[in-house]
Amino acid sequence: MIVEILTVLFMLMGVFFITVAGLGILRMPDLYTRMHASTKAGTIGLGLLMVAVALHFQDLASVSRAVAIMIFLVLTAPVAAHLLGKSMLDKGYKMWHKDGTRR
Amino acid sequence: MDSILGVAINLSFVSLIIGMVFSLVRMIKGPTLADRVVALDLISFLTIGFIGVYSISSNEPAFLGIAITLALVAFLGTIAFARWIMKSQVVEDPYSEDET
Repeated sequence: MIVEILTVLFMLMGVFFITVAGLGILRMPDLYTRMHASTKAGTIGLGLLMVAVALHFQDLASVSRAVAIMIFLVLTAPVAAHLLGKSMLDKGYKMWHKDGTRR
Repeated sequence: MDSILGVAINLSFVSLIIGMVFSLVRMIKGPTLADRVVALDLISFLTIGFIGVYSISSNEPAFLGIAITLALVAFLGTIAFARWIMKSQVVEDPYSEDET
């Protein structure tokens, strides 16, 4: 019973973070801020969701798969965002600032 | 299936669909190619989330292998697009609709 409540809690928190990542990618004013919202909130949301999957199944194969998904995401998502942001910065994409200018 | 878990699973599916709609809107109207690549990356994240919630919902842990594969393939796609943006000479209009 307590495990099921923990599963529901982790699953709802993870899905909330992933939806906030979608909202950020829709509403943010700039490529870099969009990438920031998508990468960080998406990674923490999927990590919490995989904790929920591991709590729900609780055998060795499923838990190791969930941990493998978490490790792959934590390893690959920052590298992808860094390469994309670096390539756009090299092409001359200016950052957005709050006073309406780009520099 | 107990009722709390069923309600939470339905809520999770609805919330993931809302996130996917947001990401699709950004993918359609993104000013540059990089915005569309970021939206595609988030769509693959949302698909991994769908697979996780569906494997809880159907009590079938075999779907998690697909999620591992999808995580790696989405990373490779984003890396390929970033390299292509770095090498291409296409000039876009990057600030056309940013002030939303």
